Parts: sequence; structure tokens; C-alpha cells
Amino acid sequence: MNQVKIPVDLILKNITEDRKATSSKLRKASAVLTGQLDTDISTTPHDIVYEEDRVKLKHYKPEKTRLKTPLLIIYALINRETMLDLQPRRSVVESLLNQGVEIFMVDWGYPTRKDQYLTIGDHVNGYIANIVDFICKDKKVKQVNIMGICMGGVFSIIYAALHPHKVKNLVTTVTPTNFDTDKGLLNIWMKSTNAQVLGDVYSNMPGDIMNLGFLLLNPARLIIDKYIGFLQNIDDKNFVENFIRMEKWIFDSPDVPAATFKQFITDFYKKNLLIENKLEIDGERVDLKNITMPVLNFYGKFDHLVPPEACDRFTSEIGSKDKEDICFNTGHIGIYVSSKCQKEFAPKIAEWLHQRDSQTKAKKTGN
Amino acid sequence: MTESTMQGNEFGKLIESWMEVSKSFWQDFGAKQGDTIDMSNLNFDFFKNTDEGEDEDNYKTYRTWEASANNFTSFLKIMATPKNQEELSKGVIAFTEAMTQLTGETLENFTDFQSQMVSSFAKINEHTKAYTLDELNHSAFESFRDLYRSEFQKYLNIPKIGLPREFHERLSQLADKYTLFYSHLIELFYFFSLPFEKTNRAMNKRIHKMLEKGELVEDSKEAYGEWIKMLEKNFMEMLKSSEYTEVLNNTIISLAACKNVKRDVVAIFLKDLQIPTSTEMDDVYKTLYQMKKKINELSKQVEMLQNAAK
Repeated sequence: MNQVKIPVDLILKNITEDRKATSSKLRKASAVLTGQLDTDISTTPHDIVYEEDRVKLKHYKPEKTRLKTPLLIIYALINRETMLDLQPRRSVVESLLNQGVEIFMVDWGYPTRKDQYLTIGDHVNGYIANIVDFICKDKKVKQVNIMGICMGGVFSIIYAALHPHKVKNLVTTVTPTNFDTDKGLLNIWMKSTNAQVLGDVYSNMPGDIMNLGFLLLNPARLIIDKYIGFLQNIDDKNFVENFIRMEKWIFDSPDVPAATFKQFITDFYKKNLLIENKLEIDGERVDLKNITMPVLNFYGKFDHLVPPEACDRFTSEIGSKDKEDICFNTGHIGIYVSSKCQKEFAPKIAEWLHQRDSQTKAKKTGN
Repeated sequence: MTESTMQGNEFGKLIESWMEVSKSFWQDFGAKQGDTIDMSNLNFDFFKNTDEGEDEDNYKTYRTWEASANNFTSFLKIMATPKNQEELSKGVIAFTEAMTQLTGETLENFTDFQSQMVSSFAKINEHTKAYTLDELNHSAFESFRDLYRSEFQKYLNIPKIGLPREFHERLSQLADKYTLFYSHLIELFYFFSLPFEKTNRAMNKRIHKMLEKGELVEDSKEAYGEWIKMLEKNFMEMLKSSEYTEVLNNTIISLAACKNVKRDVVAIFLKDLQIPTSTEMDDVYKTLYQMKKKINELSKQVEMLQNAAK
């Protein structure tokens, strides 16, 4: 075995330089962390216009409304809808409002033990249906535009298939529809394990356990590298503020009602009933061919939670003739928070809705 | 005859000899006491010559003590007779013999039990090539579980008796389920240590090669970037493997079993405190949920009928 020559003088030199840089960084970091930090999220003004049990409906009114049909945003039951309004100038809500879109957004609240028996049908045919009826009555319209996000997108699809006459245009973002793929770790785990038993044990699936599961999808990046990056930029006030906002959102995890959780794993992850048109909700079959309204489907190329393979089959199974897939070079959340996507995502949606709003107006006036 | 029985017998013989000597001592003592002690001196009839009614309340306690002492001396007189002494000593000897036998048998049973426990623990060696972390893998953990199930679980499954038997049974079940759950959990943690081990080994080799050439890692950020990339790759490999999903599934199932038993144990305490258990509350919530659904359906029907009537 060769004798190792350790260059001690070089090591000592590096240590000295690193020490000076580190102490300077720590001084600045201390000033940043103990100073005034703007970390509020969901700051765009809104009103609560409807409440049912734990569910609330937020209403965002633009300065100038360009579309006749309001947009109902349905977020997932996992994490909170505040991600769409994370901070000024990085807010999907703000961007859509600037484009003249009137927004209603569902706030699913924080389920308690009494909500454990709520099924997907209760969410879709109950809360969502009542909210849509409320908006139609309030705005004197017969239909609404719906935008669904992730699991909220699944709910939107089910609602649109069961009540197509109520939906004018449908936008789905990072929405899993085809679960028969081994591209995502979540798909592999849900198919190979009996995770649904946790729904019985905990009455509601705890948000913290789900968060732990999501962190374990990529522990190296999400548990180690993320915080190393934070420490490396800890003296940058802007970075720290953005980081804290994201942390606030990501670990704000409501529980998921047990019945919904078990149904989602069994009917979607294990049996893949939705894309096969075999899903039944409240005794009624969900037929994707009933989705005949225009559909715009977004997904992320590097989405590790909902891989492209889980999203790209949807538009080929629906009855719509006006449909479009858009794949962004980003991950699950990047579509909403990355500055690059911010410039494309919301303007694209607003423009697409506006074209279909005008077309309807044009058809009505006979032009 | 086993060594322990022989030892027990020797011990018994010692006690027997001691009891013989003590018996003859007390016999002689009693006989001599009967001859020499003038029992009339031991007279506690302090109030013998006074009227019974006189100062009865004031000396109530003393009279009680006096009567007890008189009864005791009379008893001693009777027991001191040779015939009673003989009977007493026979009883003592018989008791001693029984105790000796019991001690011998107890010692024998205890050493049997000890040797059983030692052989159970010794079986750990047969199941694993343990104590060397290199050999630690799924089969090592499974061996522990097999050992636990075959050698130790049976003690928790011994049927319980008495009024609190149900509670004891639940506690035993809880101990059983927790043991299995923790074994699965530790195995899961072990899996999470594997990517770190693999990555650190590869990085150490690389750094060693560099140092041999006299080179130093100048940019620590670059080195960290390389390390984290390698770690991510190793984690992805591990997380996709069927071994990991099996361990994850076992952990989830054992956690569920654990939680179910824990809920039952907690329910027993809550019942005593007159606090509704979670199962009882769940029943109430289910009833509320079904009622709400029914009311919503009926409201819609009423609305439809009203609209139709209009």
C-alpha cells in the first residue's frame, strides 16, 4: 500500500480562508434572521363568500373583469391552496387577476375527526356541486370555468364528467389520471403497499405523515440539500424570505379524510378506474367521454409526484374536440412558483379562457 | 438425581438438624419451666380484690391488657405439658420436611428455567452471523423476528386469569405488537442508512486517490455537489427496490396492528374515567354524517316537490 502524502499546508490554508468567509456570513445571517422579514403568504385581498362545514369559498375580484364566466379553482386536499398566492409578483392568483379573470377558490380547511367518513362523492357531488350552484346563482351564469390542481384536478374531472352542463371550460394542472405507471415512486409505493390501512388506524390520514412520505421521495434533495442551500444563502434576505414562505406552505398540511384517502388509493392507485372509465362515484359511473367542453391540460416534465406518463393519456380519452396538452420543463410545484413559468402559465390560461369566452359570445350574437 | 436436587437435600438436612436441636431445647426448657417457675408470681390480677364496678371506666385499657396477659400465661402453661410439647414438635418437623422438599423442587425448577433462557438466547448465534455489521441484512432482522416468535412470544400468550384478565391480555398484545413494529421500524431505518454508507465509501476512495497524488479537494462546494448527486442516485436505487417496498409495507401493517391494540388499551382507561372512547365518538360521527346526508337528500326532494307544485 502506498504511503499517502497529505498536503497539510494546503489544508490549513483552506481552513483559514473558509473560516473568515464563514464568520462574515454568520454576522450577516444573524442580522437577516433577527431583522424584519416579510414572510406572509396569501396576501392578495379576497372575501369569504360561502361556507359549508369546514369548506370556504374565497372570492378574488379583478380591477377590470374581462371574462363573463368566472373561474373556480379547485385545489387538492393535500397541502393548501395558498401556494397559488405565495407572494406578490410570484402569485398565480395575482397574475390571473391582472388578466381580468374573476376567481373563486375553494379552501378545503382542516378536516377533523368528524370528517373521516367523507368520500370523494361527498366532496364532488356535495361541496363542489353546491359551490358551483352558488357561483351560478350569485353571478347569474349557467356555467363556470374550472381549474383543478393535482387531486383537485381529479375532482374537477369527475365533476365535469358527472355534470358537464355546468362546466364551460376545464383546465387541469399536474393532474394524475393514469395511475398505471412505474415512473413515479409514489405509484410504485401505493401499488406495492397497503397504505390504505393507515386511514382506518388514524381516522383521518395525518398531514404530517403524508409530508414525511413526500420528503422520502427524494431525501437527499428534500431533507439534506435543501437546507444546505438555505445555510449557504442565509445572509441573503430575499432568499431567506422566499425560503420561509415556501416552508410555511409546504408544512401546512391538513389531514385527509380517511374515506377519501382509502378510496383514492384503492380506486385510483391500485385499480386505475378513472382512465378506464370504470370509476363509480355515488353509484354513478364516471365516463370521460362525457367531458365534451374545451380542456387545457398542463403537466411538468420533471414532476416526481405526478410524472408526465400519469397525465398525458387524459386528453386522448375524453370526448372533447377542443383539447390541448402543455408540458413545462419543470417539477410539480415549479409550474406555479418558478419565475419563468409565471410568465407563461397564468397568461396562457387567461388567454385560452378569453378565446373561448369570446367564441361563446360570438356564437350567441350570431357573428 | 441432579446436582441441584442434591444441593437442595443437603440444605434440607441442615434445616432438619437445626429443627431437631431446637425441638429438644424447647422441650427441655418447657419441662424445666413447669418445674421451676412459680406461675403464681406471674399474676396479673391487679384488681382481684377490688369491686368490679369500681373505677371500671378509668382502668378499662389496663383490664383488657390484664385479661389478655392472663390468657396467654394459661396457654403457655398448657403448651408446656410434655404431651403437647411432643405434638408441637411433630408438627414442626412435618412442616420442616415439607419446606425442605419444596425448596429442593423450587431450586430444581429455577435452574431448569435458567437453562431454558440461556439456550433461547444462545439460539441468536444460530440465526445470524451477527455482531459483524457487514452481515447485517434483511435475513438478520427476519431471524430476530423468528427467534422472538418461537422463543419469547409464547410467554406473552400465556392465558390470563382473574378479574383484570382482559386488561392483562390487551397489555400482552400491546407488548407483542410493539416488539414486532419496532423490529420492522429499525429495519426501515437500516435501509435508509445504506445509501449513506455506499456514497461515503465511494467518496472516501476518490479522496484517497487524490491524496495519494498529492492533490487536495480545493472546491468544497464541488465536492459536496458530487457527494449529494451520488447520494441521490443511491437513494433512488434503494427506494425503487422491491426489498424496500416490502419492508415499508411490513412497517405500515405492523404500525396499524400496534395502533389498533393501543386504542383498545387506552379505551379501558377512558372507560374508568367516564370519558368517551374514540370508537364511541366515531360511532356518533358516523351517525351524524348519515343523518346529514339524509337531510340533504330530503331537502332536495322537498325543493323539487315545491317547484313542481308551483
